[in-house]
Amino acid sequence: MKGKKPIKKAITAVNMYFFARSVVCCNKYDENFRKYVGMLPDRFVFRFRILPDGTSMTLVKRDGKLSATTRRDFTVKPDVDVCFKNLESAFSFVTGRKSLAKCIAQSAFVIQGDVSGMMTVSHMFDIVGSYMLTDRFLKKYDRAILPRTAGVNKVRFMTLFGRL
Amino acid sequence: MSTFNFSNDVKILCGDHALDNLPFELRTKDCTRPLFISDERSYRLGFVKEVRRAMDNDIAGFGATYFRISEKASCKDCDDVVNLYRAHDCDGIIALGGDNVVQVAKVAKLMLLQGVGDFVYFNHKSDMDADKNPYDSLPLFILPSDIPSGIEASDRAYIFDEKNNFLYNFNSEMTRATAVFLDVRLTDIMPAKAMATAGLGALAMGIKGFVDNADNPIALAYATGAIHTLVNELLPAMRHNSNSDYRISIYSSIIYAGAAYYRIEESLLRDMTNELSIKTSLSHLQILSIIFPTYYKEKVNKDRVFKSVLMPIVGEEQYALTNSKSREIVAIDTLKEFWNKVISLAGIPSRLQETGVEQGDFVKLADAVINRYRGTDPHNNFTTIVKLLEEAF
Amino acid sequence: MKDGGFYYEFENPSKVVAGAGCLSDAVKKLPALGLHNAFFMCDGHDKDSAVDEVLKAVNSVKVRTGAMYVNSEKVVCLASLREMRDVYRVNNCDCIVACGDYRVINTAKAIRLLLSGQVVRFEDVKGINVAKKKVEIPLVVIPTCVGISNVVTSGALIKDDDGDVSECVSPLAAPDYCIIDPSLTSVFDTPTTIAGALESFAKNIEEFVSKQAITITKCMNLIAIREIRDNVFKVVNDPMDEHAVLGLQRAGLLAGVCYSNASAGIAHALSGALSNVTGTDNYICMGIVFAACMRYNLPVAEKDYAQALYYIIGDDRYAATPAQDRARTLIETSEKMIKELLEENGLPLTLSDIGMKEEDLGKVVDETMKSYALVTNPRIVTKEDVYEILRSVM
Repeated sequence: MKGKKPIKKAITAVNMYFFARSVVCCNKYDENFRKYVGMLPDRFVFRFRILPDGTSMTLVKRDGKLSATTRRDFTVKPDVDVCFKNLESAFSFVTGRKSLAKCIAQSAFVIQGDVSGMMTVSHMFDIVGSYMLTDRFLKKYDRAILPRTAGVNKVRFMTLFGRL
Repeated sequence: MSTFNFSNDVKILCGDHALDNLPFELRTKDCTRPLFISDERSYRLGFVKEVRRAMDNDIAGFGATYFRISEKASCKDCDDVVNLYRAHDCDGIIALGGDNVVQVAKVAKLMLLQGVGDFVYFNHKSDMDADKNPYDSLPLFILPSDIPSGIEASDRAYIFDEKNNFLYNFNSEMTRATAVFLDVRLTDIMPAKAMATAGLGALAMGIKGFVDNADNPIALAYATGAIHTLVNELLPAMRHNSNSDYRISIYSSIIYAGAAYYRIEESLLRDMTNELSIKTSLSHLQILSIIFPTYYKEKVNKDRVFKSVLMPIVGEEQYALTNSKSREIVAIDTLKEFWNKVISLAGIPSRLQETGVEQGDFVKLADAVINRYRGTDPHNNFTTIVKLLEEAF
Repeated sequence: MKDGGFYYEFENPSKVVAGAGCLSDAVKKLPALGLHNAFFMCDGHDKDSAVDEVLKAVNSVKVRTGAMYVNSEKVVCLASLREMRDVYRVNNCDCIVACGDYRVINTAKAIRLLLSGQVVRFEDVKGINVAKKKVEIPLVVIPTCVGISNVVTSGALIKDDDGDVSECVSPLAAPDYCIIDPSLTSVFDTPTTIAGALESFAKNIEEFVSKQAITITKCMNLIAIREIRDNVFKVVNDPMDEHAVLGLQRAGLLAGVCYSNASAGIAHALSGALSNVTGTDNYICMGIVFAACMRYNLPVAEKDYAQALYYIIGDDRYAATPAQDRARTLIETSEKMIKELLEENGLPLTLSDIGMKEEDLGKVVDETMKSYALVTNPRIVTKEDVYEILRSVM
């Protein structure tokens, strides 16, 4: 078990699960988020995972609807496949300390697929961050505080407890 | 503007969790059975454990490990590493440690690429420059766990043969590292003295690299960046030696300064420093921190090039306000003031006599330097060297 | 909890030889690099042209021309790459030598990615850090234009079968060997010079203030800015001034090294989007929007702009400029310099001049937000910000 970082892995997996839920929630309630989703082609699949064989999250846009899951399903070929080089990079991302854009800038992962699609998803994740994290936290880690068109508490509550 | 050439593809990974990228970098080079070498010190301080942890968290493993590199890199160490590499059919080298481990790793890589068995005494002019294998087919990853020596990202390596009292100097792309990882977890709090000597030595390398690479914009940028960082952050690093950000910043500057300095083909300063290092058993950086003020006063090219050194030291504003005719003097005075400040704060040697060198050694030292020096500058002669030694004494 | 922390990777994979008349000496090293049968790429092969000179030099060191490809595409398409791959293999070539402008160099990098990675599907190179070297295919690049900054970058643009342009970023795209000889650029037209110099200047400024800029890249940018200041008008007035031409090429080279490590910013993203939407050359779009983008970044980049000013106006004027005005002075000076270059050569100065209308703005904004260059802009960019910038240069 030495070096395997079981606690960090567990935190990453749990955060990834709730992050997936928050993405679906933002799509349901935030107007600006839906505009970005509108820019993605139909049947767009975005996946990020942790190398070599860690947790993954898959976003699928189908018939205008967005779904997110952390179930491991590698049968669907993603349009954008983001692979974090190691657990530490992924941990910084799922705990909100680094935005996806910062991870790109710091070469935290390998991106296979359409980079422009990746950038659209990055803006979507910034909106998610604006809801799920406090303004103070966002400022501390130099992250964007974007306009929110829905209630922050509503989105947080639904992410944690709501039926999506 | 004359022709310049530049070649240095060493990848530098620096900062937060840099070490965690090691398994990924190994994978990109298809390296699945690396030989992991280190020394007693790194093992004792727990750095080997850190590297194992980074690898354990991935499915990567080692082909073999060897943690008995001697405190002073030797020919036997090179032989041992090469034999172990071959015996375990390894496909790369991970070198964790100080200058001793780095030198052994580089020379071992060279021996392996040249297909050499034992440590053969190459003439430094022949086979090394021929580049038999132009492509890097032996990944070498360097993880400095002590103050870097500046040789990490260069094409040089030195091994001292104690038996024959001879320093072997290798200058070849085949000694070049694939990547250097600077991670704060592989460093320890450095006493101000150690930081001071290393910082001043690196500053000397940076200035020499700046002056000798004036027509090479890329190498010049390496040297400029190193000088700027060292002048601005060395004193705070000494005062707050538990601050890891300063430490990593100084370490990376040493590496960049070394990259600019060691690419100079022939250098009297480097040869003098090497001979004094053999004589006193002090490191290259320690000797540089002592003799450089004397050297630059006498030898540095006194023209527009040295005037420009003032820029990274004082910044654009002060540079613009300084009269162009007096920039050289201001540069020398500012450096002198900085040097003295660091020396007095840290209490480190500033004269050669404090290192155990005696006046009676000058002739022998000057002879050794002249035998080593391959440059063509007629001013670099026996008399000049003795004069420099006397002034630095 | 420890904070996000700063981390960087710095890499410069290409060997560079640069200098007047360096071609003849530089090519002597090619056989030692294992090059014997070159796949030669260029943008035309007229007698006594620069390309002809390069061919002769390469052949003189016993490196044969196994096959030749004349590039005519601005952004190479997959179909052409497949064709090139077949020609390469049929002629048993063992290296690629590319001589020409930024288009030829981009194509050469793209074909090297495909060949070296033994790629069957485009998806295996599309993206960032995806391509993996399976076969050694040396790439030698010899630019014949001034100031082009894609010479040593680690990326190539490829148009897929649907006509979409994708960026493929990988150290495998960077050339192994780059020969920069100003005597090979003695015949060129002024707009091309301005294009190179403008792009190089803008890139250097953006890289200097980039979020991922480190001390080394910043030093390179400042050296490059000074080279451009010293040489751009000299080259425009006298294209045969080899010393000045080399200065601009050095600036482009430095911009390229920094781009791969520090990346650019909003001006780069915006000019790319404008170029895609309107079909106008990138450098013209850059000239139109650059000052506005600098103003946009001013609140967060003031200190850096103040520092960079020295390398444009020199000692006396810098010392005479009050510290609090330096950043704005840089913007005004840059704007003036760009305007002078564009106006003197009858090039557009506003978006209306290139046929942009209010209704086209949305498309440009969407394209800009998809650009990878935004990640390192010092200020976080929103759609509204991009709209504002575009309206200000309408």
